Amino acid sequence: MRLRDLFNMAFSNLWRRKLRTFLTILAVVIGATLVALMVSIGSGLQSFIVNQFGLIVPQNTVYISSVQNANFTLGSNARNGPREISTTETVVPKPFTAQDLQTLAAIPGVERVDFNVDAPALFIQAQGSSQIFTVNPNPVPQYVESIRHLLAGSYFSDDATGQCILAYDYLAAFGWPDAASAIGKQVIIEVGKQNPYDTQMKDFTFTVVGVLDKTNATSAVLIPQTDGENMARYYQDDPLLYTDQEPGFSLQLKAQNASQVDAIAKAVKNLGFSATTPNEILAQINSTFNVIQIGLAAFGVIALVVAAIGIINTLIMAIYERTREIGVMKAVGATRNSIRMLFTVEGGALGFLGGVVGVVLAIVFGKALNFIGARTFLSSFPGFKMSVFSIWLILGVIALTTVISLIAGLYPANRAARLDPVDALRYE
Amino acid sequence: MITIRDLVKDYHLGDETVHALAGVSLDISDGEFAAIVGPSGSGKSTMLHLIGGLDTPTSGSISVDGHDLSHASDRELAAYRNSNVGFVFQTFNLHPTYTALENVAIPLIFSKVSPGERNKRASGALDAVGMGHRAAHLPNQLSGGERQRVAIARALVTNPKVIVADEPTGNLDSANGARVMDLLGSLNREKGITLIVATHDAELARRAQRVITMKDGRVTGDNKK
Repeated sequence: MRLRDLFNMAFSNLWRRKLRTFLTILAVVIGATLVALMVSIGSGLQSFIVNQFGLIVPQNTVYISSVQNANFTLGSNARNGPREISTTETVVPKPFTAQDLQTLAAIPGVERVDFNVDAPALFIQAQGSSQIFTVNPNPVPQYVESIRHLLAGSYFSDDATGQCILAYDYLAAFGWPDAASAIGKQVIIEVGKQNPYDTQMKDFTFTVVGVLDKTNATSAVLIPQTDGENMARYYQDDPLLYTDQEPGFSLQLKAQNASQVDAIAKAVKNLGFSATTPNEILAQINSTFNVIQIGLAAFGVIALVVAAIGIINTLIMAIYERTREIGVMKAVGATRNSIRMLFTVEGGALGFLGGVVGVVLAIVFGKALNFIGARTFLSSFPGFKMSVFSIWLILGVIALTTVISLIAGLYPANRAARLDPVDALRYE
Repeated sequence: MITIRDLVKDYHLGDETVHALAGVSLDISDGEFAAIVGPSGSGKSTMLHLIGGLDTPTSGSISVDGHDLSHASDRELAAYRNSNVGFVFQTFNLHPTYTALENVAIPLIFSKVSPGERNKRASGALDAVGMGHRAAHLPNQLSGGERQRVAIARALVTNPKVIVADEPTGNLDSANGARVMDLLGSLNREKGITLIVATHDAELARRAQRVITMKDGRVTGDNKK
């Protein structure tokens, strides 16, 4: 049997029972639309997060920590009984030392070593206003700051103090009409004490030099490292904090060149510290999203399994209706294989058509979602698309529905192929 | 030349074994017109199915023009049915959504003939049964006699040496039945096609050169004219 005749015959058989074919395909369409739309939303979110990440983290950074495995169980589980501790190192976290700083700076390719300053603050307010807002001060070296996009203003330099870059969302909070009008304004960040019984607070005054583009870091305020270090020392009442004597538990290394990042991370690990590269973080984000996408797609796959049962049902019905016809085809020279192929193609065609229509529908829904989103709930994130379709998603969903329906067609096709021609011709 | 020796065919209906053929030996020469007569359940249809390669015997041997049908594979039997034998059924068995021409062309689909050649040969077969003018009609637009003539064209289209017909006039009135009998008779006479017909129709049996009578799976009479 020629391939063209096989397809002609299969499609003409499907066309004979238009309503039934339509309903069977509809079930596949629902499943395919769900799978495609869900995965496209997953990839939309993923590319959004990945892009955001790329806007915040320079590719030539290695984040390192003095703690190997941060799973210290300090008296946490009273039910596990006393266990002997072999060395205090396993229960007392060990911070970096001045010696470590020198060793790390000497790793080939390392351009500089910066403290990873944690500067908690109570609130932020515009100079002259009584309204106060939450804030996340983010002390950064100039090379980290300079990859962020600014709506207005300029970056501060590494030796600057008392300058800050505000997240876009503070404009509305402070009642400033636009980014340009914020430049030169004064804001106060209030820092308290780590010890809750000490109620002192201190004003740290900053001049706004820039405004960040819209991102998901909506309450970030970038400040110079020096200011962050001062705020942290005040907060912890520790004047040596973030000096060579007390570098803390985490540092960031800047590579001369992004291609050296992996080698540096390896060298750091060989020293007994842990290291994370931007690519590793990205890989984690991506793998998290892959899990999310599989979870989202699962709903559609369940619908496709139901659709596959519909296909099996349709084909078995078709065998009953066409038993005599199958008998005649065998009588005039059809082999078992020709009959098997015919039913397999009919099943596959149901899945293929359902997949194509489903993907087209999903793209239409996705576009509608992007269109509505951009004008409503996503208006503050220009360029963020809820639903993103790659050619692989499109081809993948069509392939998935086709394969599922081919599998669904196996049993009916074999059953049709095995029909005894004499019985089939006698069938009433 | 059809050679049948000690042919046995058993069917299993639940626990019961039915001996549809209980040891039949026969020879049918090329170009012969043989009618098989006998009551229902005598094994007429089973004989036709075995000669037509639709079924394989339980034991014994059957060969048609050198094709051993008793030990053939599915593929070999399908090829044999496609090119060596044509079937004519009591109920015509035409494909309801195909035109007369498309119906006649179906066997050629399975022998991988090109669409153009298929149409040419199917038209020729329709002309041969006097149905050329009805080529574009669907089966439900044709009378019973016309349908059977289309079915005969389908049996003819691969130029088989043998045509087996199971009660070909059984569903026709006498006028249409007579036309179908004339047609089958002329194919036998003019094209030298071996014609084997199972029938209850005394008129059809009367036209045959040889009448084989069957009862309970055995040949009980064999009269050559």
